[in-house]
Amino acid sequence: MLRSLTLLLCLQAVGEALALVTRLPMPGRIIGMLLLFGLMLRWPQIETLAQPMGKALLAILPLLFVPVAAGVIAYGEQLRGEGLAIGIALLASAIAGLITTALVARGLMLASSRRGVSSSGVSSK
Amino acid sequence: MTMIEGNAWAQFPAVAGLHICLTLLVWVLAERLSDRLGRPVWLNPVVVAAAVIVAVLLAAGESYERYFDGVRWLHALLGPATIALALPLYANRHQIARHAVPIAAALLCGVAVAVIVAIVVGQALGASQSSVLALAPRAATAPVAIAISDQIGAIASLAAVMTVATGMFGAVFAIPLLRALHLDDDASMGLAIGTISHGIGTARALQESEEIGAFSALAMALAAPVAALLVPLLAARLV
Repeated sequence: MLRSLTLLLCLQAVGEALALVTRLPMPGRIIGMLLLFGLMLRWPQIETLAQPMGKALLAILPLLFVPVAAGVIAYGEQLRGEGLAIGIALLASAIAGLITTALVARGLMLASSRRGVSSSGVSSK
Repeated sequence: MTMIEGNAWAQFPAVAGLHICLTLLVWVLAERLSDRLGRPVWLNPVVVAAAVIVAVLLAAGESYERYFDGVRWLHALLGPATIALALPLYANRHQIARHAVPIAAALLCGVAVAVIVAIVVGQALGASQSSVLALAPRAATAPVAIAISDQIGAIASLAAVMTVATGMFGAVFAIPLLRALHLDDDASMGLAIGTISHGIGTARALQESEEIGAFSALAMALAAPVAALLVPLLAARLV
C-alpha cells in the first residue's frame, strides 16, 4: 500500500515538474498518468506495484471531487445570472460531441471492417 | 434545535478533522440513499453530497475557504488518484491497439467538437469569460477536468459541477439519442458515451450491455489525455 502510494506520488511530482520545465500545454498530473502508462507497458510488473493504492483511490474517486464541487457555493450569483446560457451551451456541446464521436467511430470502423473482409475474402453472411 | 446565530461559527477555531468528518459522513449517506433507490441517474451522490455540504455550510455560517482548508488532504488525494487512471487505460491496452485509428479519430473529433461548441454557444449567449472557460474542460472525467481547469485558469468548482451535469445528461439521453439516429452499434455508442459523459455515462452503459460498457470505459480512459491536450490549445485560441 505504502509503496503503491509512493509510486503514484512520485509520478505526480515528476509529471508536475515536467509540465513546469517543458511548458507543455498539458496538466502535470496527466503527464504523470501517461508516464505510469508508459512504465507499465515497458515493465508489466509495475502494474502490481501501482494497483493496491491505485485501485483504492479509483474506488473512492467520486468522493474526492466533492470538496471541489461544494465550491459552487461561492459562485451562486454567477450561476443564477448565467444559468440558462451555461445550460444551453452544455447541452449543445454534449449533443454535438456525442453525435460526432459516434459518427466518426462508425464511419472508420465500417471502413476498416470492410477492408478486412475484402482482403481476407470472407463475407459476412 | 436552536438556531445558530449568523456568523457565530466563525468565532470558533477550526476543529481538526471536523470538515473531513462532515464530508465523509454526508458521502456515505448520499451513497446509501442512491443504493437504496437503485442508483438512479438523477440522484448522483456527488451532487447530493455537495448540495448537503453547501446547505450545512450556509446554515452554520461557515465559509467555503475554511471548509476547503479543513478537507485539504482529502482534496490532495485527487493527485495520485488521477495518476491511477493509467490503470484502466493499461487494462484496455489490447483493445486500444486493435482499433487504434478509429478510436483515436473519434475521440479527437468528439472532444474537439464538444469543446468548440461549448465555447462558441456560451459566448454567443453572453456567458461571462469565466463561465465559458469552465465549460471547456468538461470533455474529460471530473479529476482530469479539475486538472485542466487549473491549467487554463478556469474555476475548478464550476468545471467540476458542469462535468458532473454533463455526465448525468449523457447517462440519461445518450442512448435514446444515438438509437434515434441509428448510430447504435456497440462501438460507436460506447465510444460516444465514454467520451462525452465519462464515468457516470459508463455506469449507465454497463447497465445496457457489457460491450457498450467496455467501449465506454475505454473511451473514458482515453479521453483524459486527449482532452488534456486539446482543451488548453482550443481555449487559448477561442476564449
